[in-house]
Amino acid sequence: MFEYEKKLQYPVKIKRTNPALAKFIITQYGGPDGELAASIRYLSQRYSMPYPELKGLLTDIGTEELGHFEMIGAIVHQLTRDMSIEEIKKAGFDTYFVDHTAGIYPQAASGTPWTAAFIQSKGDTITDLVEDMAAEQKARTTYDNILRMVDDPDVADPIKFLREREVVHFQRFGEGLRLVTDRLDSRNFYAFNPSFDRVQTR
Amino acid sequence: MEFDNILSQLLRQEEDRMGAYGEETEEDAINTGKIDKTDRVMESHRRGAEMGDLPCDAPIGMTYTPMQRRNSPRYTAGEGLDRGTLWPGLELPWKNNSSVRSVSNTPLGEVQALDFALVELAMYLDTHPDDTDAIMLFGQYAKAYEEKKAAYEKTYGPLVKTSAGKGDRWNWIDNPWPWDYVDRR
Repeated sequence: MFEYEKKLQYPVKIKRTNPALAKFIITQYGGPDGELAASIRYLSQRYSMPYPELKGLLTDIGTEELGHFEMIGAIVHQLTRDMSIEEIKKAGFDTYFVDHTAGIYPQAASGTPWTAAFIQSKGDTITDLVEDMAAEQKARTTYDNILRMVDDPDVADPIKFLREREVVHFQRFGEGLRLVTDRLDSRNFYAFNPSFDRVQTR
Repeated sequence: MEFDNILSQLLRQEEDRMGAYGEETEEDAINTGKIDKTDRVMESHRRGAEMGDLPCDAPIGMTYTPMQRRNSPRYTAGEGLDRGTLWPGLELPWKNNSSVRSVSNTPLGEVQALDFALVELAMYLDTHPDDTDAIMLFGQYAKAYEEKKAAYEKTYGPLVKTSAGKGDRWNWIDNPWPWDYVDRR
């Protein structure tokens, strides 16, 4: 079950209001390769995992991603605090503002609302882990792109932290896949689905 | 490999100084300059990628990640939080820019650093469940974390609900909440 700890995983202390940055950073809140997508993906995939190492890994990474979801929320919140209407207009933040004011809404940078269509939970051990590896790379690239466009070190620092976490998660999911292939017959890893089939096909 | 040994040496020297992973000794060592952060970072980048274990005869049609080896070089909890990983071998920064701000030197930062070490180690242990050295290290960090957390909560209020409700008001709800902007915490 889930318990809340009243602290961020890594501090977010942004001195300068800047809705122009919030406009694209919000994509890591509710976008296709963002932290909510990662969290829901891993926490959903864990149920069909056949081995305890994978149940643990998906639960633990999925939980950490919820903490990252919170960090992005904090970043967007601090970037949009005490905005003047002038700042909102100048930043092109008016279209978000009209629907959400300074509230936090899970959407992509494009404005597409978060949807489970961003994720897959295929119920096949190998497929889900390869999806997860791809997801971590997509998230890492998104953070690369954010870092290209951010000058403020108060913003860049937590973003750099979150980016590095994606690199580590990629390694762990890859190791999870090794744990699977180690247990399967190397003559054909795709003979059956360990998440569903009880009996090995001959 | 030559640089591997230098890096391992640096970190092993640091381990001897730290003793039982008490938070105080880690911080002291970094603050008094006994651990030279620049050297360690430069070594890890000159070294290039850290090698892991690949299967000997892997069939085609599958993808293989090298398993991280046991007893990999390791940062302190504070450095780990600052850099985003406990493992120099996995520190692969954007534009090779590994300069980071130190965030682990505030009262909350010390708690966050120890919690981060636990999260990072637990994730490693999920795929290396038989690494007894790592299990022992996890136990040491867990003890240090509980102590640091209790001390923090005494001054700043509850971090978990079970620590709340000790006075005559429900201080769980008190400001600041983690996303609130405050100048210092």
